[in-house]
Amino acid sequence: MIRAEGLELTYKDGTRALEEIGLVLEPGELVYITGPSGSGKTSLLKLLMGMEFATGGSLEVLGERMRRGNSGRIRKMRRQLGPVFQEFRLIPGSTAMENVLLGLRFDGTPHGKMKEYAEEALLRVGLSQKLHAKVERLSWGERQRVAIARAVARKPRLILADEPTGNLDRENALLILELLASFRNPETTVLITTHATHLIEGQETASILHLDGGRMRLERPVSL
Amino acid sequence: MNGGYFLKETWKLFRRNPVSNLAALAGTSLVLLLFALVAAGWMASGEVVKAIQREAEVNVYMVEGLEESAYGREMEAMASIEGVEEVRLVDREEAYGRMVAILGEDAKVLEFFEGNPFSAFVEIRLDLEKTGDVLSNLEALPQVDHVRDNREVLDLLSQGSRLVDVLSWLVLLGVGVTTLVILTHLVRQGIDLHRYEIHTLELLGAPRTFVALPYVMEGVLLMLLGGLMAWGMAVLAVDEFYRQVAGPLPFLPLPDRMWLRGSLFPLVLGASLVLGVAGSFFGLAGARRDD
Repeated sequence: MIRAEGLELTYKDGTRALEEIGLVLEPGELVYITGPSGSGKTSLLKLLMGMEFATGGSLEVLGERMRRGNSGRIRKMRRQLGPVFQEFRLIPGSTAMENVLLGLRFDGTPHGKMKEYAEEALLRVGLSQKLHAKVERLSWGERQRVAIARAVARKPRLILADEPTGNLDRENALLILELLASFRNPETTVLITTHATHLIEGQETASILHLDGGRMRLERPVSL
Repeated sequence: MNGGYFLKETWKLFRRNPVSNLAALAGTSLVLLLFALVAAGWMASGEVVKAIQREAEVNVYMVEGLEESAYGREMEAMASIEGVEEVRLVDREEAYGRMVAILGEDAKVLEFFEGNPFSAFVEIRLDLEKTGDVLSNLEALPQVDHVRDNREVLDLLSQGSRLVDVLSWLVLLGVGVTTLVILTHLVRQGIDLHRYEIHTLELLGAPRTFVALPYVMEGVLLMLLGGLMAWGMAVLAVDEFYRQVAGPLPFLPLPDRMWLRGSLFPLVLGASLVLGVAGSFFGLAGARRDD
């Protein structure tokens, strides 16, 4: 599902974001990547989504080599991802339903199933009463749930969530982590970054990786 | 499959930037009106030349004093010339009647003449391809005084028509460049205003065509709307022109007004469609270069 070897990322201004990252994730895993702000969590996620390209080493996501010049294939690969962005990236002026439907319009979901999948996803995140509410009218937490619904509605092989607990209180943060973890299944891997290590202490079945200064440390077993 | 979605997104693009879109609509419709008017002139002048060519005939005047009864023999000789299709005698009374019809109210001037001032002549319809040879052969006949043909008028009209052709191409070029510039800027502006949405779609894996289609549709629909408005204004202008010309120039063989209206429609809309697609793609290409 994800294979990284000697992965490095140095930005144009010389900042070394990631160094010597090695990682192998198989289907059905739940993985937390922890670390303080600036440790390289978001940079790693950007590499996994093809928003940035490694300056060293190699990376393969869902069978695609993540390198410059492979944009057409990376674009197709993204249709099998369920990304939950830190800033949500919802389309303003559109309803919760429209935002969730958006992710289904080009990923091969049969036209007749789109509405059903979108409603099902919004129901799972607890927004069945807000299907037709404009996203601007939703609370911060509700917007995050819409973003999660959009990510999971397409039944992705890999869910990537960037700091989903960022602006939430402990109770809501735990609910969101629990919700995201619930989408893990034998075909779907869930990878979540968070700086709040105390929130994942009880997660016995998950693998935990710790990033610090762009280097990765294994906290709890993950296949390497 | 996503038709409703694309139409909705296109409408959102219009609504997000209404001032620019309305200004672009006004600009393109006026530019296309110019195109429609030149195209109407182009088609009308072409039809006028064709109509006059269709009516191409020469008038043969015989030497003075030749009795009308002798015309029969001469007309037989004329009919035997290759390229002559029809030979007909116009006697003095018919020649007078024709002039009365042409002069209309001004025919009163003919009353100042004593009797009928016009002489009989032979009217010949001929094969346009053989005009030169026919004229030489007619002039060579001993009883022929002179031959009057409308080649000079035709040449003048043809020159005018060629000028209209050149002008039409220049206007077409101007219209093309202007509308492409307007649309390119509009589409690029739309893309700049929606960078966030476009980036989100790309991160979700949307194909390029899916991302680009609303912007292309915006450009194409705007141009088609502009074309439709231009056609409407051109129809009003053509109607007014026909009304104005009907009085002072009744003999001008203008094409049928409804035919002209109908011919302008696909031409203006077709040009709008082509320019809309081209302008939108230029805009997309420009925006991609900016990335």
